[in-house]
Amino acid sequence: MTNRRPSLIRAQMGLDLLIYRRSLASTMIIGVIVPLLLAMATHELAVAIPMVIGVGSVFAITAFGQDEVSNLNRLYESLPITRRQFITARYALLSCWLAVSCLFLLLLTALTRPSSPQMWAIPLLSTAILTLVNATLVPLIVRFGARRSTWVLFGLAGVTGALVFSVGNFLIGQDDLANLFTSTWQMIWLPTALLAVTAMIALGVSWHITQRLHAAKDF
Amino acid sequence: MNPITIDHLTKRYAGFTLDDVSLTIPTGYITGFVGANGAGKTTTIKAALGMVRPDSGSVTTWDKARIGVVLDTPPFNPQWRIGDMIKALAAFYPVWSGDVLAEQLDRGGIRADHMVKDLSRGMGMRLQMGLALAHAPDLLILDEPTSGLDPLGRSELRDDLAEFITDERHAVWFSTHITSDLERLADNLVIISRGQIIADGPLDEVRAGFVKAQGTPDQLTSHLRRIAHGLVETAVGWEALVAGSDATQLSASIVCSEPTIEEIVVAVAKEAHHD
Repeated sequence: MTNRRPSLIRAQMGLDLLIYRRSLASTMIIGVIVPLLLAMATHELAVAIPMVIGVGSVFAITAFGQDEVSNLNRLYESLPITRRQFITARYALLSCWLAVSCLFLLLLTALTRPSSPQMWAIPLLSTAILTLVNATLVPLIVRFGARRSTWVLFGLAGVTGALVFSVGNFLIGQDDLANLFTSTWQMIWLPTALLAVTAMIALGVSWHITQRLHAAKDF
Repeated sequence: MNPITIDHLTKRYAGFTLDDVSLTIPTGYITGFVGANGAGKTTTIKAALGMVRPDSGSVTTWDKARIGVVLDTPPFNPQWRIGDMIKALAAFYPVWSGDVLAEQLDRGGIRADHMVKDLSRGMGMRLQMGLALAHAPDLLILDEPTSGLDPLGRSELRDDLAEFITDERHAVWFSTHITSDLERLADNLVIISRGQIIADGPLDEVRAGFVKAQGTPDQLTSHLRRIAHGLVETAVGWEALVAGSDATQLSASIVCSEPTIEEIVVAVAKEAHHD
């Protein structure tokens, strides 16, 4: 008989990893192997990064969706973990996922042999966007369910993609725009830093909201 | 502190209300919780486990690390492998006995490489029982665990519970609509009907609280109709349950006997259905 002091949040993260194991193969192919091969072959990030963001955006839906399909909340409520700890564990795992995604995006960027230092802002911007998507999605999933929230995800992905494409195209054609900024720091790095900080704050706010929503639910 | 104390619990749903339910699950005893389908057994247990938020009233329970739960169907992802799931669940508890779990799995013929979806009803129950006992709980809560089990499975489960309760620090709360299991096992009995507690106390006292009355049609007075529960009339006679306190009003010619738990539950359920 083993006797120890358990870390309930780590235990819940371990249980959640069982859920993700099922989709591990597809995640690896679509989110890791294909973007890696594309980045190595084309030295471009235009397709690889959206693939990583796409896969990363379904992270939250996967876990909460399985909870609904398999009625796992009956299991969680019989375990010695509070609802607050449960949500904290989910966000801890999400944060790990985001950190790994960021490192992977940096690796992809390195593989493209970036011609300028500003290219390194792309993986950071992408991680910030991924964080914002998940921070928005998780409370929606908890409130409305994974199935209905999937449509919100598609909508968010579409709007984000259209926004990035439009703004990017606009900025590329604006030679005068560069004159507005006195340095690369102002043009690239400051907005990137601001977006990253905003994303982290959004994640914290998301945790707080999700925790309250989850605490009020009946299963 | 009792393992579970439910105090004036009310929970409203569309079409059903758990209404002012109060009960206590004491240590050292097996408490049976019986009622017809839809009477409120599972809702009450869910409230005790924190799965539903009461509209009013309170529930006090022991720390869940001391509680083992067995539900009517295994609450696991069908794609999980048993071995992986056991490792993941063991991490939640300060105490874990692999031997206790292995014994249960062995009896059920469950292997670590099985998936949850491969398990039969009996195997699923055996798995839940093993997981519940492995962390050395002091309280077992079982929600209709014998439904769908074969006689051998039910007998083995009863044996496990009887062994568990030999430790007087332990308690069992066991909900079922199979009353023969309760007759064999329960020390205390709680009967619920339409979201309300109808009877609560030691099994013998609950049984003694009702009298089964049988008689001929001419003995069925209007007064008797008012005090009877679950009245069944035929051309040659009638049968009903009467509360113990009303039994003194019965004529000496009416045949009275002690009802079984099943007869009490059926009578209560029939009355609820007619109302």
